[in-house]
Amino acid sequence: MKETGGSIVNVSTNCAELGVKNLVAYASSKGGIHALTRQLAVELAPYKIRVNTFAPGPTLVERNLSDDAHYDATWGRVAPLGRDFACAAGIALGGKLQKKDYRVYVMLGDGELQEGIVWETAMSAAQYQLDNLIAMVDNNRCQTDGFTAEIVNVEPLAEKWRAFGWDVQRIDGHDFRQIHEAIEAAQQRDMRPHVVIADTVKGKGVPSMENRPEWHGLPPTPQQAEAFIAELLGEVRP
Amino acid sequence: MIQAQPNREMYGKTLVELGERDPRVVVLDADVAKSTNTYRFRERFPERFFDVGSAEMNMMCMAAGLATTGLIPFASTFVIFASLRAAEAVRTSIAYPRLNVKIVATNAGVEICGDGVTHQGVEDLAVMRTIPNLVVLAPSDPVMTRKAVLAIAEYQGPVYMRLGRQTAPVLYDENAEFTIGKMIRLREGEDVTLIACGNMVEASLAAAEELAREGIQARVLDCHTIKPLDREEILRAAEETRAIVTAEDHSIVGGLGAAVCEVLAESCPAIVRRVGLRDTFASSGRQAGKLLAHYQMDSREIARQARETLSTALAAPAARQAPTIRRS
Repeated sequence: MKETGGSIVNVSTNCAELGVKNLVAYASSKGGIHALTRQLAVELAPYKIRVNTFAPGPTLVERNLSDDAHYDATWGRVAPLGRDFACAAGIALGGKLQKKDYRVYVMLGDGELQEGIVWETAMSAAQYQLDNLIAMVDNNRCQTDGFTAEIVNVEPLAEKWRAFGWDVQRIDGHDFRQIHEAIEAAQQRDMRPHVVIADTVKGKGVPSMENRPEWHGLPPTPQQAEAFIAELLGEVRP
Repeated sequence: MIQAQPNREMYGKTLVELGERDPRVVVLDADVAKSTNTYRFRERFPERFFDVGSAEMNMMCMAAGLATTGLIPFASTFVIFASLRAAEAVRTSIAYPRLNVKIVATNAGVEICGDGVTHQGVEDLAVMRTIPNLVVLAPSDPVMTRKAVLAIAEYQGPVYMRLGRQTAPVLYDENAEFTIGKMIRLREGEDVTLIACGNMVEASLAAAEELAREGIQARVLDCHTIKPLDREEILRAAEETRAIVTAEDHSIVGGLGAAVCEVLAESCPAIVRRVGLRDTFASSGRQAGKLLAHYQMDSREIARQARETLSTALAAPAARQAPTIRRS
């Protein structure tokens, strides 16, 4: 990797950053991984090797229940298990009600915006002034059956969200600086929920996949994957 | 003293009681707060009440989100919308992650009368019963409704409860015990067992009176918990009495009657008759009693089915002499 550059991803847990009962050995060793990640990131930067840690929260699966019958009571509050937009709005509402200063980030797809519930939630988030809610629309213009604009057009997006009472920004979703600035701007507490519409290209970086709706939900075969990875590496190499 | 009143009214009052006791209790409604009676909570605790408008699926998911922050959300709308329009949200966002949401749906069954088919929730027990992790309740009277609301607030996990619209008589002493998953034997009897939930418990008690005058002793079981179902009490009924009649203000497909049959078919086959809406859309009507009678969902029908099952059982004594009970 020293010659080619690359990426190291460590796996940790959110417990590394929390005080949790019965997890002294587990959580402190994971905390070690965080320190290791930071040190390695600096150490290996000259070789163009990125080092990150992925620290997921609790997941309710059978095995966890056999470890702890009160898993939900113990963990339900540590990290949200709800997945969609309306759940995120509920988490934001819970934060406001209990005067907590966390923010809730939620990803939406452009095809997903065809679901009625998204707009039910958009209305209630504005009603409850959820300025701690930040939604990001990955607007890659493709959905399962084809191009979103040809199935059921969701544009004009900025106007729609604005009309629903949201603070709207529209950015190039592949520009890290724009993403960073948009999220920073969205952290304002101005009584409005925030949406960042990020225009993206599906399959970005893999020319044979780019902007092709058929790759919306299709996993590549192992052979294709190999070829695509080669394309991707060709793309990132100078 | 608790007076006769609609169970939904008792629900609203108990929510206020809960709200006083526990600051974690929050209430959501979808534009029917006056009917569900959650308006009582809104009046007392406006800052903990959220009316999401007519957006039931959104309400269920927001309740799920609220539960993850340590609050205890009660989400209310009509049975028809909670169980059909918002079913997927209940399943995937509440029951699957086992979130501590209490769905209390009112205006159950044909009994609602005037609102007609569009508002008659008669499929909810069938739908909710198939969802893992979900406790499903259908209390019968105001005393049990209050106890059930208090019990589900204590219980850690997702719950669905259905309540009727019409005035419910008081059937229980205020000291009566309510335990999730445990049927209550309201009347002893050795000839036939009547298993009912919700408003059909009162009808079953009336049917038992009618049968008693003819010398038939009917046991009456209040099956306030559809899930988890009290298997032991059902098997005991099959062993100790000669026939079983179920009664519910719900479709005969998939509800209480079906659940009872499933238990018996696997462990102790017995003759069962199901009183309920017979796989049809009911019409609208001015009076609950007349409408229920029209669709053969009243005490007379329960008594008639009891007599018939009993004569069928007596005509085939061999099959019933030595029931083999398999308890698994």
